[in-house]
Parts: sequence; C-alpha cells; structure tokens
Amino acid sequence: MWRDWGNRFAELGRRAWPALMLAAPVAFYVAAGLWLAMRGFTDPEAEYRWLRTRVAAAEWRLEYLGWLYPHGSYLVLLPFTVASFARWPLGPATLVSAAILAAVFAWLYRRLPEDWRRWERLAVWGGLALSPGSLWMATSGGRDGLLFAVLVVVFLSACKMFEARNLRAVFAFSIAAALSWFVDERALWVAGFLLISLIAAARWSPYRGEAWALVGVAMMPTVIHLAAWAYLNWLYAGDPWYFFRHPLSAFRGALAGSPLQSWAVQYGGPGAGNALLVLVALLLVAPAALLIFRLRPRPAALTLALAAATAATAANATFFVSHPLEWIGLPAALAVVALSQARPNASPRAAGALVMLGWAGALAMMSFHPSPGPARWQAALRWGHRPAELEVAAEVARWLESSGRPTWTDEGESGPVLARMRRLDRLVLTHEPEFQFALLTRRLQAPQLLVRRAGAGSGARAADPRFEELVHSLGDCLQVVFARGEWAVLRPAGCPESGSALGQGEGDVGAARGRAAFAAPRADDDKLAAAHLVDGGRGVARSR
Amino acid sequence: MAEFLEDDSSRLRLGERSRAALAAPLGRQLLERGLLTEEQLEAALAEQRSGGGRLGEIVLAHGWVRPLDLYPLLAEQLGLPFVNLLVEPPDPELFDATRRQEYVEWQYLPWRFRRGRLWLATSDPCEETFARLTADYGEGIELVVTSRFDLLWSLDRLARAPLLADSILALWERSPESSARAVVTRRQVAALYAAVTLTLLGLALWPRATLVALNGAAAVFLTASFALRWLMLWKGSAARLQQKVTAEEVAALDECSLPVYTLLVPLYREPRVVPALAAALRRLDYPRQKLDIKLILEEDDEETIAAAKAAGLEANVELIRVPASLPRTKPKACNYALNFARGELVTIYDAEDLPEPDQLKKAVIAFRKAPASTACIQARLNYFNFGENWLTRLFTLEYSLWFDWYLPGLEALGIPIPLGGTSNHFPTRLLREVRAWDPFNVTEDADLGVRFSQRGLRVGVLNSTTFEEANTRVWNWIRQRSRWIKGYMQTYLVHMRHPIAFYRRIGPAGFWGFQFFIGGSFLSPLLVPILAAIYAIWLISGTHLFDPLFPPLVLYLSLVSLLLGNGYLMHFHMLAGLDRARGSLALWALTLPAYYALMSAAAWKALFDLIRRPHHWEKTEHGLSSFQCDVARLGKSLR
Repeated sequence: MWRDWGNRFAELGRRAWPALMLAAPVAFYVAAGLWLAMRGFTDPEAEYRWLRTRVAAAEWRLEYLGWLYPHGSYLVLLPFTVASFARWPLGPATLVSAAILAAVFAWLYRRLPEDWRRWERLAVWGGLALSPGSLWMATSGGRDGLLFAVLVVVFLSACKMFEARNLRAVFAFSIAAALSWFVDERALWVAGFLLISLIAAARWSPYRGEAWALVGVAMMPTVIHLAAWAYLNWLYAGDPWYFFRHPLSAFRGALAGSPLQSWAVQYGGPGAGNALLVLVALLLVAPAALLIFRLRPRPAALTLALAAATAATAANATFFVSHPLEWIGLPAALAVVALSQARPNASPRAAGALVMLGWAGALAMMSFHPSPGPARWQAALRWGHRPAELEVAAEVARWLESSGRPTWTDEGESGPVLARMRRLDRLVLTHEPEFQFALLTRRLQAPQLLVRRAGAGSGARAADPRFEELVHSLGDCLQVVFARGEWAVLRPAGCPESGSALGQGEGDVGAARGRAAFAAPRADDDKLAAAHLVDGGRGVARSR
Repeated sequence: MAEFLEDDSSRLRLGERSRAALAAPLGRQLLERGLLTEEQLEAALAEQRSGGGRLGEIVLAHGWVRPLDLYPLLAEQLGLPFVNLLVEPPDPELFDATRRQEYVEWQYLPWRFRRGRLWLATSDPCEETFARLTADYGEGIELVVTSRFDLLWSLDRLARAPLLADSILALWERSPESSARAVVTRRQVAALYAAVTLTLLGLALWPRATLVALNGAAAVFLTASFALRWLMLWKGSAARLQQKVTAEEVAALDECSLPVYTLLVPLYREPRVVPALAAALRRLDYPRQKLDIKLILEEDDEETIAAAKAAGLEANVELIRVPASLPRTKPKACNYALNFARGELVTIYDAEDLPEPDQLKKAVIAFRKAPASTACIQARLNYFNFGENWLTRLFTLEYSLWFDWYLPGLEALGIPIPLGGTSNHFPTRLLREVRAWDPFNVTEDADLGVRFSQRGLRVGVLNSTTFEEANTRVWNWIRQRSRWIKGYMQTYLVHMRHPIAFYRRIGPAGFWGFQFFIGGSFLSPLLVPILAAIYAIWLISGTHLFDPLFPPLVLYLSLVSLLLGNGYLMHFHMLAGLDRARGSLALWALTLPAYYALMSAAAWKALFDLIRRPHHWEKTEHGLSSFQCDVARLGKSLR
C-alpha cells in the first residue's frame, strides 16, 4: 500500500513538475519585485509607461500609447489596467516580466540535454534563472523581459531556419523580427542587423536557390509594421516619420539628447570607447559561439552572431543604451538558445561555465558607472530605504483624490503622483481636447492644476512644454492651495479675467510674478517647497 | 437466339470448369492464339505476383488484349457460353432496380429465364461469384460470360431512370434540409426579413448608432477572419512538419493488399484535354487491374465522347454517359457515375488534373493510419502553368496558401474542411451513406466536407499534390470564382438553417471557424469594395463625413484589418510561394490587392447569380494554357 502511495506521489510529481517549473520562478520573481518595491525601488519611466497605459485604457484610446516609444511594452500592460496598482505602480510590468522569464526558463528546462543528470539540469537552470541579470530583467519593471523573450524567438527561429527547410521557422523569424521593432528600440537594432545580415547568409540556408525570396519573406512583416506605423503617425500626428523625427523619440536613440553618454565613451573618449564597445559587444555574444558549433552551415551562424554583436555595438554608439546592463537581454537570450540547442552529449560543465560567465558579466555590468535605474535597483537590493519623495507623491495623490475637483496636469511631469492615484477619470491631461484647446488659445478654464517645481530630478519630462509656459503666463492669477515636497496644487485666484491668460506683454510680467509666488514657501508649512517653474526639469537626464 | 439455352448438355458445374481452367491457363491460351506476346505475358505475370488480381484484368488494363477477344476465350476456357449483351440484351422483366448496387459490385445481371432456370450474365465468372449468386438465387441458376463493358452498358440502359432520379434527388428526398435545392428556407427568409427591417428601423430612428453598429460588425468580422487565418497558418505550418505519409511507407506498401480504386473524371466539352488526361492516368503508380476509372461524359457532348473513344483508352477506363437533364452540374454527373463505382475507395480528378503518381497509394496508407471515422482525405492542389501570366502567378500563390497551409490548419483546429473540387479521396461506402454530392450546390465539394463534419466524420489532408491548369484569362477566372463563391454562399445558407443544432454538432471551434472561414470567403470580398470606397473618398477629399462612424474601438479594428490584415495576407502568400520552391512568385504577392479586386467583382457576380440562377453551373473553360506540362517530369521539377 505504501509503495502504491509512493508511486502515486511520484506520478503526481512527474505531472506537476512542468507546472512547478513555471509557477516557482513566477512566484519568486514577483515576491522579489514586491520586496524591492517595499524597500523603495521604483523607476519613473516605468511608472510613466504604466500611467499612459491606464489613461489609454480608461478612454479606449490606444493611439495615446507609445508614439515616441515602441508601443509593444505598453500593450502588454493593458490587461492589468482593470486595477490601479496605486501602491505598486511597477507591479504590472513586474508581473509581465516575471511571467515571460518563467515561461522561457520552463521551456528551456524541457530542452536541456536529456543525458544530463537531474541535479545538473537543475543547477544550470537555477543558475540561469537566479542570475543577477535575470533578477534585473524580472524585477526592474522595465522592458528587458520582453526584449529577452523577443530575442529568444528571433535567435531560435533563425537557427531553425538555417537548419532545414522549415517555413514555420521562417514565419516565426519574420514575425518576431517585425514585432521586435515595436517591442523595444534595442531589439530594433538586433532585428534590423539580422535582417540585413540575412542577405549575406541566405546563400548558406536551405533556400539557397531562392535567397532573395527568403530575404523578402523575412523582411515583409517588418516592412508592413513600419509602413503601418508611419501611416498611423501620419494619421494622428500629421507626419509619417513623427516617431522618428521627434527629438525625444526612442527610435532615434532616446538618449541622444541626454547628458548621459554612451557608457563606454567615458573610457578613453569616442575612439577608444567605440573600440571598447566592439570588444564588449563581441564578448556579450560569446555564447553565440556555441551556436556556431551547433549549426550547419557555420558561415550562416557566424553571420548571425556577428550581426548581433554589430547591432549591440551600433546601438551603444548611437545612444540607444546608456548602461551595459540594458543589454543583458541579448547575451541571456543567446545563452538560452544555445542551451536549448545543445547536443545530447554536451558537457554540463561547459554549460555551467556559461552560466557563471553570465553571473560574472551581469555583476560586472552592474558595477559600471550606473545610470539612475540600475543605481536605485542596486540600492534597494543592498540597503533598502523608501525614498521620502515616494511618500510625498502618494500623499499628493490622496489629496487630489479627496479634493473632488478635476485636475489639469502634464502627465509627463506629474507621473509619480498620477501613478499612485486610484482613479484617473477626474484628470485632464495634455492629450485631451480641452487641454489642447487651452494651450492653443492660451485660455485656461481649470479648477485646479498640479505642477512640479523645477530641478526635482525626477527623470520624467513634460509631455507638452506649452503647459509650463501657460502656467508661467498666468502668474498671480493662480494660488497654491496645497504643496508637498516638489509638488504644488494651484487654483485660479480672482484675477480681473479669472482663469484667463494675460496678454503677451503682461504675460511676461505675470510669469515673473508667478515664479516669485511659487518660489516662496508658505510660512505655515515647513514641508512646503518652492514650486519653480523655470525649466521644468528639462535638463534632467531621463533615467532608465 | 442463344441455342445453349435450350441445350442441357452444355451445362457444367463450376468446380469442373475450374479444374479444366487449371489444365489450360488463360495466359497460355492467349499466347497460343497470338493475342499476347511472351514478353507481355511475363510482364503481366510479374505484375500479378506483385500486385495481385486476375491475369485477364491485367492484360485488359494494359490494353494488350481487347475485351471482345478475352471474354469469349475466358468463357471457352471455363466451358461457359459467352453473350454479347449489345446483341442479346437482358430481359428487362428480370431486372430489379433495387439490386442495382449489387449488380455493380458483384458484376452480374439477370439475363434470361428459360426452362425453370435463371441465367445470369457475369464478367467475373469465378467460384466466389458463383457461390454468392447461388446463395442468393438458389441452385437453379446458370452463368453466362459477358464483358464488363456490356454489363455496364446494359445496367445503364435498364436502370437509367432510377439512377438519374437518385443522382438528382437522393439527398433532397432523404434530407431536404441538407440540400441546396431550396436556396433559403422560410425561416431564413423570415430571419432575413427581420434583420433588414430592424436595420432600416435603426437607420430611421438612430442613424448614427446603427451605422456605427454595422461598421463595427464589419470591422469585427474582418479582423476575426484575419485572426483566424493567422492562426490557421501557424497551426498549418506545424501540421505540415509532420509528413502524413512518407516515401518509405509508400515503398514498403504491399501492392497485393491494395483495394480497387475508383477514379471519377467528369468532362464536359473538353475534347482538348483528353490526351493529356489519358497520359496522366497512365502515370499513376497503382496496379492497373485495381483501377476502376470512369470518364463521366454528358450524353449530348458528342465531341468529348468522340475524343475519349479516339484516345485508345485501356479497358479499365469506362465511359459513363450521363443522360441530359437539369441541373447540369458536376455533382449530379458524379452521383450518377458513383452508381457504377466498384472500388473500395473513390476519388475525383478533373479532366486537366495531373496527380502525383503515388497519390493513390499515399491515400490508401493515409486511410489505414487514420481513424475509422475518416470520410475523406483531401490531396493538395496546385498549378503547373504558374508562370504563365500575372493571373496564374497569383492564383498559384492563393492555391498554395489554401491547400498547403490553410487546410492543414483547419484540420488541426477541428474546423470543417471545405473540400477542393478534385483529388478528394473517399471510402465509397461512406460516400454513398451520406448520399454523395448535392447536385444543386455549385461547390458540392465544400458542402460535402461540412456535411461530413456534421455527422462526426473526419476530413484529413494528404501530402500529395495534384497539378491543375490555372485559369489564364480574367473573365474566365471571374466566372469560375463567382461559381465558387456562390457555392460557398449556398453552403453557408444550407448549414446555417439550424444554427443551434449545427453548433451542437460541430462544436464551438467548428462553428466559429465555419463562420469566419466559409462565411469570410464570400462576406469579405463583398464588404471590401464598400469599405475601400469609403476609405478612398476620405483619403482623397479629407472629408469628416465618415468620422462619426469610427469611434476608437471600431477605428482600431478597421486599422488592424486595413494595415495588418492586408499586409499579412501578402506575407502569407509569399510564404506559400517560397514553400512551394517558387520563390520567383513571392514578390508577386505585393500585387495581391489587384487580385482581391477581381475577387470582389466575382463575389458580387456570385451574389447576383445566387438570386437570379442559383443552380447554374458556370463552366470553367480548360485547355487554354499555352504551357504544356511534361508529365514525365511531374514530381521532379514541380513541388
């Protein structure tokens, strides 16, 4: 009887194992993300992404999403907008990333060589799943998880495509390459270079007689998506290349205008820095070397690996990334593909070495001069403290909700507050018609405004700089009714033309008066901060 | 008058005849009389050893011996009388129309009744036939030998009226709800009337909301159709990785175990294609003695009948003349010919078809591997003249996508498969059980596939291709396509007569797949010109007239279907072209919008035809291609 029960448990275990391999990492990553959030970790840009998704979902206006950023990272958050996640704005992104990573790793576990002993497989698998790079991708609230998944599909389908005549792989590759353009701007580079490299590599593929047809088929979805995106830009923004021309566009190197430099350039200037970039990029794609021995023909694998390396280099050099950690998805994806394609007799030690290399690489990347996002993440991981500004933002959010009045604000600036509000329906944001009308006519009919004082270092940016100018121009016609930290809530204050902008000449005067008024803290509140509206934080680097 | 009828001394028992036959084998006798050469006899015997069957059938199937030489010799060898039924026809009084199927299967007919004994004419005078007939009719029977052609001719003459009535009305009489004889039922008319009334009422009372609802419904429908095609492509590509029947399995097949295979080949006013057809049939890699080929000809189509007679076809090819009657459709002709089918399996080929030589063997293997509920296996169709002009290129891409990707996808998703018009293989018994094709449906094949699904029977897809001639002329193409689309409309209307029962029978996947795949095949091309016109007006004039019709959600769906739907459709066609090793066609997929414009024209024509002449068969003219497919290269250069 006991043996019977033992067998039943063993059978149950066998059946539950795949589910466990999926559920355990999800639970772990989510718990880790929550723990980091409780220790004060947040990322303003990720919060902003979440806020925009909520706004779009609340009004069923998907065109609000991601004009200047790849919209895939917004779209994946849409299902979560049924809840506000006011206490944990990074929650949805963490859940998505955790699920993606867990799914990829669960898939990988079933494809590790069967000749390996279970503990060897678990060790390799666990080493990869628990590596600092994986933890960062899952818990940072960013888009790295999505990037990682897309790259896994791109690389894997590229491998399959070169192995044998397999149109399913061509289909998957072409779709993944196209989607990657709209999931993450970094993937844009990798996919773009892979597609271009296909022109050279196709002759070694099973489609050697139809190389150009293969290239055409592989590129077609990218062309479709790009054309569709340009059309939508023309439809909504009046310029087909708006997404590319706009100075803040991620598609042209989101960091091009930021004070942060490409990380490697800091080591010896542009020349030596770019050489360093090439070197590091080649090291990053070192796991692709495994693919070279896996794939036939090798020139094709070599071409693909070099394309990935070149893409990484080019993306760095063109300010698509500011910190090497942002490339963690690339070697991780290559490692996953390499392990999944490993021969049955592959050495588990070599795989272990690969994982250890991943650990070392991720730790090394983190030790580079950190940009704000990774710096905060590491700080939360090591020391943990809940920054006072988050408490303040939450308090302002509560106050606005209790005020019962519609609030006009620039969501780019006030993201941290809005992300902590439970409801967005009493907000009037920059994209809305009345807001746009007010900006055009310079006549503001707002019950109250939420503004942020200058130089707060939030890392966010104005969604529409004209709002700041308008508030300036209203000057003394507004009064501060609530202020905490860097935030101030303003209401009309009985001007001769209450609620109206002043004339152009007076506007300058009014603006000056307004600046003076906002700069002076209220005497009865020590916490009341001066609300400078000088440059709106435009000089502050975007954090990632 | 046959004198042996009055002469008792000529009669022998069959057992004695068999012993006599063993003493002087048929082959030796054919050789001695100079009817067969030594080499032919050796080849025939070798074929008999590998594929089984009777020597007589083998030499007839090769055309080495004429039936009028063989059957009298056979009769002589067995000590039985030979009768030419054209000269001495059977007694019509003895003919029992209810046993006509048995006559075909057992290859006999009651011929005469004299002096208390029933004389049965058979073309298969073996012990088994004798035992079977004795068990059925009792000891008082006698056999005479006749040729298979005589039997067929006599059966056709005697049973013409009931056979014809059956071929037209069998489905209608047994299951009127499954027949397209009535295009719409009263209930459907009432539902249509109610829908139109409500729409008009809505337009009068709430014009904007109604127009938004209609626009929204169109957007949802088009987007869902696109999503389904995406899914089908993905599933189909996975299914295609699993070769259903491999070359190794074909090589390992024991030919002796192969069943008799009936090939139905309908022709109508196509004398030009007969030589190519004969060549294609001879290329089939299947024991010839086990092929039962029926060329189905309209009785009044003298030209094609003459061409078929002149083609020097072997004795395993029989000409079935379908009496002139309405509706003059291919399914009616096939139903009629099915009455004469002897095969355990049956398939249809069009006159211009070039099936891959091993297709029949693959189908046999596929049936053996498939569940017993498999009622049909559909081979892939493609075109040999794909590079002839723009139309054939696009047509080839479309067919490649449909048969190579969509159908496996439908199979994987459990959605009813609308059969293609040719190269569908059936177990004859199951086909007869469902009363075969609906003669009033102009895409009887698609209807049959859905009917099988409704009965819980499976339709599978086979990895073997039949090459056809793509339409080369635009108007001919539009006529052909309008018939197909009209047929889909008929099929949709027939199967949606009882939607709830239909849903219960084929399940949610099948039901919704049917809506968007079969429904989408005619509704999409009907809708597209309207939506395209709205778009063009907006694009050119910049008018805001249509803005209220596109609230955000409807706008997004419309954009998805406009941008991604059309874009990906091109991509799918490119993939299908590449898959067929026809990379040169891939870029032609970029001109797909023009091809779909033709499709819309055909759809609107189909709608008018459905109203004006629902059962009219728009005959496609074949043999127009300047490309002549080299049959010998089939399967090598074309994939």
